[in-house]
Amino acid sequence: MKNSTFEDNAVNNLIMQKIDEYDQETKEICKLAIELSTQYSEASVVEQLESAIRKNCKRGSL
Amino acid sequence: MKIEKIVLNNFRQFKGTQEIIFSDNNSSGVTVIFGENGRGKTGIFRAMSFCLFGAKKLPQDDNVSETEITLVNLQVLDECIGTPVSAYVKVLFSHNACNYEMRRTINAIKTDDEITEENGELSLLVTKEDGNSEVIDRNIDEIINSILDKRLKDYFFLDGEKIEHLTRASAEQKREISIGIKNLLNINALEIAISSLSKITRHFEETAKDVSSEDLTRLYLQKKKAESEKDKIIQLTKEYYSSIDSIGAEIKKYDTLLRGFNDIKDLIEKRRSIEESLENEKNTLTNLSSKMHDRISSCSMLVILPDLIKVFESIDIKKKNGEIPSVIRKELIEKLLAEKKCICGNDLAEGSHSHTKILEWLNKTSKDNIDEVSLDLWRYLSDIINSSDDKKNLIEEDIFKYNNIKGTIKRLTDEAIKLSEKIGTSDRKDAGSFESQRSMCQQQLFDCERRLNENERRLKELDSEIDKYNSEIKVEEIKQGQNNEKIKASLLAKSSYNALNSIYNDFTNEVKELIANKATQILQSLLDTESAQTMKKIVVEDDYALQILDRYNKKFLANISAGQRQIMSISYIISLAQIASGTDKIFFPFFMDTPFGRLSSEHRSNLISSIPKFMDQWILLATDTEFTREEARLLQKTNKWKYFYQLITNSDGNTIIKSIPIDKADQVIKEGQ
Repeated sequence: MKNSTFEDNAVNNLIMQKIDEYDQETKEICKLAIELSTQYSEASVVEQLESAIRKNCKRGSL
Repeated sequence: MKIEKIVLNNFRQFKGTQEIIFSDNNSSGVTVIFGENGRGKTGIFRAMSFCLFGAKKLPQDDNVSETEITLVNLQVLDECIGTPVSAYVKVLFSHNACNYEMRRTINAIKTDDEITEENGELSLLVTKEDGNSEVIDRNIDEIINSILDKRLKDYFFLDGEKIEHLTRASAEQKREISIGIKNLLNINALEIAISSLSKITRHFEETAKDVSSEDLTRLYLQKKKAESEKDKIIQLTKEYYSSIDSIGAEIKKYDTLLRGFNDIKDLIEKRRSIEESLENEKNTLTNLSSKMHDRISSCSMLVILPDLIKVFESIDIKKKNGEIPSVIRKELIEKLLAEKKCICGNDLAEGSHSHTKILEWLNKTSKDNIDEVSLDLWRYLSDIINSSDDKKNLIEEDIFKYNNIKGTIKRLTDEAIKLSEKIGTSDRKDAGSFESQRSMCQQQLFDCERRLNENERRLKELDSEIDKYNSEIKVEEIKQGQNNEKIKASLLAKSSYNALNSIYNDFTNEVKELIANKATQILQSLLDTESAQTMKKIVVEDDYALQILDRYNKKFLANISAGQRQIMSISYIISLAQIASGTDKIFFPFFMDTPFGRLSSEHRSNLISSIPKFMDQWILLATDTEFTREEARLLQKTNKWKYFYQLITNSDGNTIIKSIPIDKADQVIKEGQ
C-alpha cells in the first residue's frame, strides 16, 4: 500500500529535476523505472521495463 | 501522520478502559501528560510503541529481557488467577487524508507466581477520504512501516534522556537507521529502479552476445565474471551482517545473564563501554585505511623522490645553461618571426640582433624532439617536487594517526581481555561458562568484521574493474550497434542505469548536506549562547551517523554533554522530518518522554518556544520537576498548547487519566525551584 506517488514527495522532485538533464530516451526509461518501482515489486519492474526498452528500440528511435 | 487518540484497556497501570485525545477538528498542537514518577507516563509511551510497532520493549529496557516485562494490568491478573485475561491498546491516527484505527491485543495468564503473555489479535480499520472503510487483517505492520518506518520509531517516539544515544549508535543501529532514513525520504524506489536496470542490462548483454564481435563478447564475459564475483561478495556481506546481528544479540543475552551476578555487574558495564569505544576506534581505523589506500596512487612518486630530484636537477642545470630551450614554445617563436614583431612589441628587422637571437632559439627548439620531452619532464618533475612536502606531511599525519589508533585499539583490547578474565573468575561457576560462551561470540564477531572489511575492499576493486569494462564495452557497442536492435537495447538499458546511479550518488550526498545544514540552523536556535559558540556545524556522515564540528572545524562530539547531545539529536530529527515532509512544518507526531530532565533552563526555554513552530504535534510526558509553572507559562505563550492530562494514582494503585483545562493547569503544576 503506497500513500503517495514518487512525485508527491518534495525530496523526489530533486531527483526528477536531475533526470531531466539527460537525453530524451534515457530520461523516459529512468522516469518509467522510478514510476514502476513505486508501485510494483522488483520482479515486475524488471519485466515491464525490459519490454518498454525493447519496444523503444524496435521503434528505432535510438 | 497525526495521532488523534489512544485507548488503553487493562494495559499496564491503566485498569479498565481509559483514553487520551491528542487532536480534535484538525487541531493538534501540544499535549502535556503530567505525572510524578511511577504514575504511568512511560506506560503510555510503551502503549503507543506496542500498538503501532508491536514493540514490547523500549530502548530504555535494553538490559531487561522481554519476559520480565508484563503489559497486562497486574491487578486484573491477580483477580483472575488461572484464567486468561486480555488487554489492548487502540491508536486512532490520520495520514494523507485517510483515518486509521489500529488495535493490538495481548493475552496473559497468571498461575501461582508466574505470568505468561502472548500476542493477541491485530486489526486495522482504514477510512479513506471518500468515506469508504476497509478492515485490513494482513500486512498491517508493512502499512504502518510505509507511514513511519519502524527503524525510525525511536526518532519520533523518544525518551528525552535516551535520545542522545542516537549520537552513540552502534554499527548495527547505524545500518538500521540508514535504511529507515532512506525509507523516510522515499528513496527506496530509486534503489529498486537501479537494481532492476542493473538486472535488465545484464540480461540484454547476455542476448547481445550472439550478435557481437569477438572483442565485445570477450568484454561481456570478463564483465560477467567480475559481476558474478561481486554478487557473491554482496551475498556474503549480507550473511556477515546477519551473523553480526545474531552474534550481537547472543552477546547481549550473555550480558543480561551475567548482570545477574552482583560481584561482576560493574565489570560488565565497564567492559561494555570499552567494547563500544573499541568499535568506534575500529571504524575510524577502517575509514583512515581506506583514505590512505586512495592516497597511495597520488603519492607513489614519493618512493623514488631522491632519484626524481637527481633527474630534475640535471635537466635544470642544462636548462639554466641554455642547453635546452626555455619554456617558450616553437610555435610562438615561428609566429614572432612570421609577424616580424617581438614579444615586447618592437619590430624584428631581419639581420638585427634581436632577430638573430630569436633565430637561435628557433634552432634550439627544432634541433631535437628530445629537448621538448626533457622540458615536459622538467615541468612534471617540478610539480611533483613542489607538492612532495605537502604529500609527505599528509602521509606522516596519516601514519601518526594510524599508529595512535592502533595503539588505542591494542590498549582497549588488553583492557577488555583483562576484564573478561576477571568476569570469568566469578564465584558462581555458571558465570564462568556464560563468560566463555560470550568470548567465543566476541571472537566470531571480530572474524565477521574482519571478513566484512576484506569484502568491502574487494568490492571497491571489482567496481572499478566493472567500470573499466563498461567503458570499453560502450565503445565497441557504439561501433556495432548502429543496425542492431539487441545491442541498442543493451546500450539504452545501460545508459539509464548509469544515469540513475550517478543521480543517486549526487542526490544522497546533497541530501546529507541538506540535512546537516538544516540541523545546524535548528541547533543554533536551540542552543544556549555559550554552546552555540563551540558547536558550530552538524555533519551527517556516510552512514547517516552524526558528528559535530567546533569553531576550528575539528570533530567535537566526544566533548559535548548529554544535554547538548539531546539538543543535537532533536535538531537532526527535526531537519530529517522537514526534508521528508518537504516543508518547514512537520507532519509527524513528536512523542517525548522525560523531555527536559537533562536540559539547562536556557535549553528548556529554547526548546519549548521553538519545537511547536516546527512540529504540528508535540506530545510531552513530563514529571512535576521538569514541567513547572515556568515551563507552562512559556508553553502557553506559543498558543499551541491544546491538551493537559494529569496521571493520578487511585486507592488500589492503578492510574487514572484526568483531563484538565489548560487554564486550570496552574492548580496542578508546582512553581519551579
